[in-house]
Amino acid sequence: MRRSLLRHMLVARGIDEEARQLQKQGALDLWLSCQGQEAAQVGSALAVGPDPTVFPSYREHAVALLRGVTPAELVAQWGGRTFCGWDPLGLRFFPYTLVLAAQTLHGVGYSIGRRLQGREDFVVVYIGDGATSEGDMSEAMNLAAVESASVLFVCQNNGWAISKPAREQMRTSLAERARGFGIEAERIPGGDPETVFSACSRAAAHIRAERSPRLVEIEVARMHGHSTSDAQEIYRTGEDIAQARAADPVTAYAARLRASGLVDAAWFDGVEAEVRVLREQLMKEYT
Amino acid sequence: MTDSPVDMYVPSFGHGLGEALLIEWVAAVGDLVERGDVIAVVETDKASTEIVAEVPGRVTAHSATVGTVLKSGEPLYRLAAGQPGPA
Amino acid sequence: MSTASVPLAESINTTLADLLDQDPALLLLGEDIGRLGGVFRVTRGLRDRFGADRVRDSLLAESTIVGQAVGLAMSGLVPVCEIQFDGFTYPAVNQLVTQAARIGDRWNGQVSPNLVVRIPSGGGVRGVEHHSESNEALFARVPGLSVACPSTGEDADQILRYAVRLGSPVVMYEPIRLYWRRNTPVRDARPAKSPTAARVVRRGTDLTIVTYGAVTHEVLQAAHALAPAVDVEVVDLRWVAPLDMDTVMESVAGTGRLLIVHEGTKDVGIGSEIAAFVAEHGFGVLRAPVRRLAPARRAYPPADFEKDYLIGVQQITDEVQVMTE
Repeated sequence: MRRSLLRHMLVARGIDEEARQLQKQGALDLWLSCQGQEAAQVGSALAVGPDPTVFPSYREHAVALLRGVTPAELVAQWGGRTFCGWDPLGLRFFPYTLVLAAQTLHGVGYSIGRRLQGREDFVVVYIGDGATSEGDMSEAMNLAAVESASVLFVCQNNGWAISKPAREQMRTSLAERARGFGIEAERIPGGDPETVFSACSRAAAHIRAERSPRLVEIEVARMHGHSTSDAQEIYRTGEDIAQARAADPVTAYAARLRASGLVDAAWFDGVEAEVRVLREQLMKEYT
Repeated sequence: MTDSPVDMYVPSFGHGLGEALLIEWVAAVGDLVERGDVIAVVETDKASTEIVAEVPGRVTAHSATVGTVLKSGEPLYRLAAGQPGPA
Repeated sequence: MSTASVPLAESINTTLADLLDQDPALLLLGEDIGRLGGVFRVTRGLRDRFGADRVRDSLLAESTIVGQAVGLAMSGLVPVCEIQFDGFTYPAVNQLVTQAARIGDRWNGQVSPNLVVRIPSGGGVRGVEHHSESNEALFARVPGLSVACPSTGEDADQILRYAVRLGSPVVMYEPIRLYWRRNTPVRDARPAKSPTAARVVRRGTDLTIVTYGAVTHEVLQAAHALAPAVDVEVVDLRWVAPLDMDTVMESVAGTGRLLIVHEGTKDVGIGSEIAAFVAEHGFGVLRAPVRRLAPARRAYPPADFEKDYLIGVQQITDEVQVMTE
């Protein structure tokens, strides 16, 4: 399991890095980096397993890759080729939704609809901290609570809504807000995938047993700008950015597993080779 | 003292409802009514509702029979308005 | 020239009951539609008959209704939503315009949502603020949404049966002031060519009036009153998006004159599109300038002033006489 966590994080990092590079070369129009959020995404996605349907926001690249979206399919919409590059139903990973929080209500409605039909009704809704200011997020939490929908809300709080810091967006944590709607919630640090995996496993077990919603708020570091068009140096201090990069969950977890002896140099070589092939394929298709 | 009887009309029922079925007369001919007392019970397409006295007075006649469809604006009953004096 | 007919609310109730009966995937969702039967009682008795799972009293939040319906539709169900009044549609606009209307494209056709939103609309019932509006033109501009405005129960029945199987969202406007009307002007009985076609509801030779929704009744009254001096043809569009311009052009080719009448405001309205289309494609058959009769660009007024706002029979008659002098 630990090796799996790390492997998915390394793959996601490699593809994200390649997409950033392709955007700089003009091969992609835009890229929204997920760097710094890999532990949150991989930990949550592995914890819930393959059965739940995922309603992502637009930055859940590590979840997408883990669910089987290929790198080329993942970047297709950012290269202007389509609105969605993958097979949403087959992968149970639904299209990215760019209008903030609109997907939260779809996710709850989908879960209700599946339950009415006697089918798997576990749904995971991903959302960023900035998008929780949208009315739809509050409406979705309330709807999920009153309908007792089997929905896991995963909020990745990276501390910024583009340029607006989280402390200016909300006076409470999102977890506290969720509790106000009657949803049990937890706020956890997102640097360690094992912490995320444990919290999301607990939440998933609760959802399966109680058939009611849960929310997990994960504090993550934002290593890059909101998008490749966003010059975060204008509004973030160099010190703040350096801190975020120093808290890189991928390098930290890699170092930890290496130190523990769980993975060795040969294992890293193997993953690196895998990532190199994926990056080369992606580069060929988009340049 | 009371005035001579005048026609009291079927009110409008809102939301485009212009008709109602007269279910029951609650105020009989000869009854003294205060403003707000129930005169009749009617049923619109949407709901059962009460028609109430608009002014105090004595009901002197019913202008429609139970079971008929009333239209807003038609005469419903006659009322001798005013506070009745001491007997 | 009027005839007794089943009130629109009863007719839609019958259609919805039949649809619920036929398709186990279909469900109704809206504010107060279950226990109460809706503020207009259009869904009266349906919760008792089909259960609270299928006739669902929603939260009092329009974005929740439509956003949830998008998810229900993705799961394979067929939600038929009710918005309580036209003027309360706005909180749901984002979910309708950026989501429901675009799901098919975003999913590359993998999901084709069957989703209907019913909206009571229009004035003439002394409604309070926001309870008498006609915002169909707003949605008619949105690619991916179809917008229907039936003026009879028969048309609403045909439209609903088509809408629940279309595979893309349909907004259907229902005229409040016709919900309980039992006397309606006489219409040509010939059916429309297709569920999406306009309907020629009065045949005539001198002038075409294109209209839709509740005011179709005033137009027909005016047309009947003008005969035999002026023989007016009346086209009830039934759908404002997409528009059946074939039927309009065919009628205008026969009469050479076109008047467009609607209750929604005039500027950048449905009539503007029709007038532009006829000017572009039918200039040669016109014997007179195209005219539009619709309220000026202003908010729907308080009830005491709605008679000045709405288009009445007299105005229509006057306009036709000016155009055919």
